[in-house]
Amino acid sequence: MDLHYTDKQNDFRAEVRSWMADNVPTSPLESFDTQEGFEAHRAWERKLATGNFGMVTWPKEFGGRACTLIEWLIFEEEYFRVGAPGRVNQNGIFLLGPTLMEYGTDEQKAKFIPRMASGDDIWAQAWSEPSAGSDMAAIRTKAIRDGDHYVINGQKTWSTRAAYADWCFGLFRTDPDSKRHRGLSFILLPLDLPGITIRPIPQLNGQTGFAEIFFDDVHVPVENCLAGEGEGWKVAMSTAGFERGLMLRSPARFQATAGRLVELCQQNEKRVSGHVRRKVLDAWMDATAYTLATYQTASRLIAGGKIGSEASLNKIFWSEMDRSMHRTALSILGAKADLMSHAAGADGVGNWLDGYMFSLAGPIYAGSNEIQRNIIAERLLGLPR
Amino acid sequence: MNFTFSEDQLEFKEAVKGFLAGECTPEHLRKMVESGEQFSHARWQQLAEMGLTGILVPEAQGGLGMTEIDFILLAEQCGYAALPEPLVETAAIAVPLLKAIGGQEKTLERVASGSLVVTVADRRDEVVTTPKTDLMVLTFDGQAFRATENTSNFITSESIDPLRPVSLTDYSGAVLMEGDGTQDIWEKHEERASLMAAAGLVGLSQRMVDMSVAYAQERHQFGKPIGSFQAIKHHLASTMVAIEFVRPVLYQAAYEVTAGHCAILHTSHAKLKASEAAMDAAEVAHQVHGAMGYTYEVDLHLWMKKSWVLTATAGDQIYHEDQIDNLVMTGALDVGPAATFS
Repeated sequence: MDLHYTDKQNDFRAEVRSWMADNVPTSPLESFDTQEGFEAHRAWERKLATGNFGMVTWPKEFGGRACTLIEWLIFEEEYFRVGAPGRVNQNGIFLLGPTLMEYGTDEQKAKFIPRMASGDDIWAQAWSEPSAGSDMAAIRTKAIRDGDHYVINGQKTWSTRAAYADWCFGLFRTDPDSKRHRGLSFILLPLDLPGITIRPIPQLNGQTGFAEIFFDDVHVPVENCLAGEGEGWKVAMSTAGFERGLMLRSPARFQATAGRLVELCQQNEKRVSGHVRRKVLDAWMDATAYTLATYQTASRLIAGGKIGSEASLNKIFWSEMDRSMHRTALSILGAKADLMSHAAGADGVGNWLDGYMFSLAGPIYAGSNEIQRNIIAERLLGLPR
Repeated sequence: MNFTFSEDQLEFKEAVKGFLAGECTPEHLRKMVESGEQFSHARWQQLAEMGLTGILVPEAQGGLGMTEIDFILLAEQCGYAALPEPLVETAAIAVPLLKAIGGQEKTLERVASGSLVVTVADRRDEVVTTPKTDLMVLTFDGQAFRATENTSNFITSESIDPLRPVSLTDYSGAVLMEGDGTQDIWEKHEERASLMAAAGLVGLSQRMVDMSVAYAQERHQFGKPIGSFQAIKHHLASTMVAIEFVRPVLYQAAYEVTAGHCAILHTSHAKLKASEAAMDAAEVAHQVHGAMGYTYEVDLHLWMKKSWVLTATAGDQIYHEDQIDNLVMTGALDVGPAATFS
């Protein structure tokens, strides 16, 4: 065990810090769940790519820096320390990217990863269907082989970023006679193909972070299938591992929230009760614990380990921590907490309300926390199904 | 940066876990309770032969010359087994204190050989662990460190943990050191004691989950094992989440204590969260065991009571919350990202 950064890691931190100081937008961008904000965030992704910061863990030929996961954590810390914009391409860089690295052919990597790193392709997810939410193996949308194409028919929903994204990845049933986990394939496709209809879904904050995707005889080349026909479930579980276990929610994000919450508490010291004060301490302690746990996971992966069902422990921890931190902030703000972020008198505190609404989704997306608790009980503890 | 234990450290843990699984069984603990015994000389000698009593004692005094980070996983295993003998108190709390005081080579030799048990009266608590055996108690009254081997004048008390002999703290005894430097040594001791208690609580919590899993697989209601019901699964899963997110805090605290840094933020964080996880684990385990958990029919109560005791020992929850508050809320600390490691 050695809990010191190497000189190389410290140099890397200094380089990121200096680049961020020169390049991070001085005022916050509009939400990426609006058309204008989406394009502003794409421009930021392109800016990041000019510094080769699109995804630092990727090989240099794909636009990365061949960094270790520890350096990725350092990058994330510097990123959140200055409040840099949210990653509009998180589905791509944090979920599909690592999955492509593990399962993609050389051609697939060369085709998709550099454009992902550069912000040219922004990715949406296409997992859930109206009848396949927590029960993802109930997927019905078919992708039937016809020569060198799949013909897709059906419907996806809650597709994150699909309102404005360029491409999507998801699970489709390539064997129409198959049941449950078998006969599913992991397919990547552009969202402007003929036969695709996208219907944005207004969410809690009025914006369209997700959408429904309707497929009507959509033709997709067979080379867009990842890891072979029928292997979709295995690939999806790997993506879910990254999502729950490591990359989607890097610890620095929560440390930044906890830091702002401590400040908010200090500013309101006179009216904050002991109970609320303890909640603020919990925010700091939990964000710290999550950070340490992630350094442990990163160290283990660097040593050749794999992410397993313990990713479910992580997902529960960060999602419930995030909700609790924002709720605590709202309790400190009182009536001001309910002002819309752009409204008169909100003085910027509306960000906490936006954050709270977003945090309510955390225990649901990426596999609901009830499903995660089942996974822990059955696979880690060995309780009967 | 490498936040993993070495192969040697992990193997040592497995060896101790295996030893305790064979030599510190629930059946033996029950027998001890029935006969009013609170200390097994035979087991203490075995622990000494494995090098455990002298693990932090310098090699020159017959020890293994290892450090807190080498012991932390073992302290967890002592909790897991509900080991009644004060191995953690002696080997990982008293020994480093004796080393810091200096000039205690003879005492350290006796500890390493297994012929002396040493416990420390922690000023944050009112009582001290006092097995009626070859015992030395160290005290600090704010001015001087003292040692007494004659504890017969101590007022014996009684803990809810039937396997923990306790006395009220008595500040008599021969002075080992006084004046300059004692306060610093004492503060380090407090951090170490918090750390080791936290490790014990993590082990206790894990065992209570494991016992509950075993019980939930055996116990049938409505024609099924109760462990197949989500109500039971989700209780235990939540407890596992709490335990798994104490561990990295505990290990960072152990690392910082070993490095000799000021570690109070880390040790108090570990102790507070380990206490809460253990209290929760005990309540959940109790719920899963149903009425059986309310009796002596199952072993849960021994682990539950030890958890209560350790939660209140080496600084209670209010003490540790105060320490964290003092650092986090006063602006003394960089609380945002990029400040996790010193």
